[in-house]
Amino acid sequence: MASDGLTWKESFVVTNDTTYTHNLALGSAGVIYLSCAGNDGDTGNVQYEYGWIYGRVYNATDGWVTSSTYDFNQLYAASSYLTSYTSMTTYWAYMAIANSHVTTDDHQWGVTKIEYRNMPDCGFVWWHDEFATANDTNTTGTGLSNVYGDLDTYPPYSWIGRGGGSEEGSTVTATYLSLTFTGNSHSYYAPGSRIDHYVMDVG
Amino acid sequence: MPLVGDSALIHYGGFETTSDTHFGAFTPDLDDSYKHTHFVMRAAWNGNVSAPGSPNIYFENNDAGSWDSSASYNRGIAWGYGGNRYAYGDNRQTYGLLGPIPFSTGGTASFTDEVVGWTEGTIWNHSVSDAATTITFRSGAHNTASTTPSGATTYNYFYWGWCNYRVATKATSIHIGTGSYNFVEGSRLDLWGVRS
Repeated sequence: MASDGLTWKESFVVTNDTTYTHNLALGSAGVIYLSCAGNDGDTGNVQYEYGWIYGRVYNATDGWVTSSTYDFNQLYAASSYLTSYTSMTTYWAYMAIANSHVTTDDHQWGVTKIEYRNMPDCGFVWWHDEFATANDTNTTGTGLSNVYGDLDTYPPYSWIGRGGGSEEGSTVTATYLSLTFTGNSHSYYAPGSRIDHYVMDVG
Repeated sequence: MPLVGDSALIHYGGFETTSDTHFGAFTPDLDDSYKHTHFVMRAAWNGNVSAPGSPNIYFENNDAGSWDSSASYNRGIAWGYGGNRYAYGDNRQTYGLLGPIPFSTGGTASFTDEVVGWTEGTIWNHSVSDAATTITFRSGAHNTASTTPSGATTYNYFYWGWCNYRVATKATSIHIGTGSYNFVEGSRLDLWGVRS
């Protein structure tokens, strides 16, 4: 029977200062829109205008898959040239980006559109072709040589990227994806951070 | 309120040129029923220029009745052709940019000339009054002959990037185009609201 293809499953919006993780119930395939930032009550780090959102999958047989079986690759521009990055050692895989609301204006949000496929009886793969932090303070951070938000100069970390990754540590199909925000002296999502999840009919 | 299982993407706008001189910019309203809008554009410029040209982006600030051309646009783009790859960005500019689209032949343009550009992406947080509006996009420019009528060499580029309208406001309309060139007949922009 025909269906609508991509359908809405869940919208999660942070409403307090103490949320650092959220678990999504996975479909066989899906799309996740993230518009996120770090809480401006955190200490923050003037060197960084962003924080990573990390992912980890769960199934009832293996529990949270914490083995180092996650791979992540990204091509990105944080300056006037392109750079690639690979990580094959973490069990909190890089998945999405959040703006810092400590070092940047609080109306700017990091955005990531993730697409994923949830493999039967094994792993999980994802990719993000739309990935950007934003900054427009037009000020120079302490110890930095250039204004934030100018992609053509280094080292401010306004960046754009596209990449993806995979997880091969599961013995059965993953049922949850945890998306956790931490790092660069951040501990919590800013209120208003949102994760919108859509699942795809795969027949 | 949306229900689980409702369609994720709701088509709310489709705009297409009916001649090679119909207009030079898409200027649709952005539906504030949605936080984000997914968009796809296929287009080529009506002109005889070798290098592809970026559409200029402006937003309307909360039904102001005019395009915001203040120094409020941050821009980042990466691109490549052949064995070349580049990245570029700046901030506080008076207009935004998407990836360039190609020029067709002046005055006799159409997609049958095998010249086409495309752009696909997301307009984020446009209906959120206390947030900036951000575009993320991918695009490409294709010219089968790799030359313009004047004989200038063209390239088939691929681009991806970011266009950030820094004002914390509801962006009520978007301008994608230029005052210098028209789109060729059949150029089209479609908008889908992302349900949430």
